[in-house]
Amino acid sequence: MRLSGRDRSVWLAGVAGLIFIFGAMLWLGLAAASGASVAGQSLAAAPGLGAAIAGTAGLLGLALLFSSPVALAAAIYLEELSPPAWLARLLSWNLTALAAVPSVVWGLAAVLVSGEMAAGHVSLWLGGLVLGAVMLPIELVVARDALRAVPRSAREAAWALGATQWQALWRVVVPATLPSLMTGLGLAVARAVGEAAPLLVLGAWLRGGLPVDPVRAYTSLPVLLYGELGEGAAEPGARGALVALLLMGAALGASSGAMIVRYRRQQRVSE
Amino acid sequence: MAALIPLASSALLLWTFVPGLVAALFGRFSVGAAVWDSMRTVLGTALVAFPPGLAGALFLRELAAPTTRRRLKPAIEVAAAVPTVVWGWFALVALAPALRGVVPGTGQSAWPLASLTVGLMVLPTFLTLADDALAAVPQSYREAAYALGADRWTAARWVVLPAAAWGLTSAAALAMARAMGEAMIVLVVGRALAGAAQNSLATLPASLLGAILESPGNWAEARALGGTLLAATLGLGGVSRLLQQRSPGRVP
Repeated sequence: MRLSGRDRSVWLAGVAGLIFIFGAMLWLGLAAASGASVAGQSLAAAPGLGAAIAGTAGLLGLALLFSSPVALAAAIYLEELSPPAWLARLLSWNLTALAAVPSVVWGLAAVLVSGEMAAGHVSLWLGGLVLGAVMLPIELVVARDALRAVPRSAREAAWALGATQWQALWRVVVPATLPSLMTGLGLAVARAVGEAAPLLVLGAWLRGGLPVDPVRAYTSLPVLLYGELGEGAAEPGARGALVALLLMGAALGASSGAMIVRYRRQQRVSE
Repeated sequence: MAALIPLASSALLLWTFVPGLVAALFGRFSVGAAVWDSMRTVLGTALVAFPPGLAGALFLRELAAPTTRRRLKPAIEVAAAVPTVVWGWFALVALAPALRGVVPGTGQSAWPLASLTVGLMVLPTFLTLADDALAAVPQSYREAAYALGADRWTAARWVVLPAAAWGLTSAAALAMARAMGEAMIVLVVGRALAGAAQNSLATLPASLLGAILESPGNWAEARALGGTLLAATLGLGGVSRLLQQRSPGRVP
């Protein structure tokens, strides 16, 4: 289908707006980063960058490990095992509530519950748990919608061939939802990778040095970026720009991956 | 079993923060200034994000060709993924000088800069939610309008928009909850412009974080701020959910 003239102009305006904002981010970041490398500072050797990348990867891995089995199991319970109506309503309201909780509140809750720990006693496990709490509602909503989208006839066909409820679930229904589940994971990662506030509450390492012991000290990319910005200086330097670029690339990469899977699938189903 | 983990985490939040909320309500900690700053920041955010968000959603759902919508919608959803601390960086590097250039004198005060940045951050989220609200209006409403001779704009303006009013309000409430919970942008902007005291801005989440970072161990105040913040965001989220459950309204 071809675009009409008016549609095309508005489409172009929208795309131009997006490109302008993200192009400006990219340009400013690249300009500042390359300016610093011309001046002879080695950005790759910037203190803390390696630790931040490792910390981010570790946090995301733990968060996925904690949250995704719970999200899938809860979604299966809600959609497939027909819980009592009052419990389904309660869980559904609860999900709405969890999705609205600001991430900084999760960080504070984790600190308070784990015994009002002093600064300097921090662990990657707790950080992963908190990011998992941020991810859970996103994954759960997507997993529910995915299970709902599997037609009833697919289950009935499996039952007719003699499959038990669990066999139908694990061999027919869940495999059919895998692409959507991947979308959920991508969206959750895109959200969690940029979370700085809860990790700051938990006492993540702000700047400098390479913390070797992940049980006692860790840092992540967003925390490092805040460390670069929090100096009271109005002009953050080249390292801030570099970290911002890395972070934006990671978040946009994860979410565009999720979108590609989602919209490819929609197209295939509608054909 | 696993389905109980989300419930348990909610119970844990309530158990942790209800005492803080009680302490805040009965005046043991003064959260009034933070509440006021949160309210004016959410208001400024709404001014920045809602008009273009609503216009964009109306265009995308009611006026655009299917091809346009198919291309633009994923791009907007991806744009919602930019981390908030990156928005904070962008506010300092680009938006503050731009604001200073366009409206002299505003680039140095925290409220306009924070509102603009949080507004831009929330815009893609609000647009997507508003688009969903418009999508919930039954196709038969539009067809009835077309049958009476309305063109697409007339149907969108006089039939779909009024019918979607509750859904759009619900989308607005959810976007406001998101803006209310935003800590990093306000914290970064506030700290960068900390020179002038009359320009300071400390919303609930930002002052919560600030309290912890500046005086570690001061958990009681953080708990009061956190309890108030949780009550506010859950309130907005609940309002949003209740409004969403109303079916599309009758057209006057």
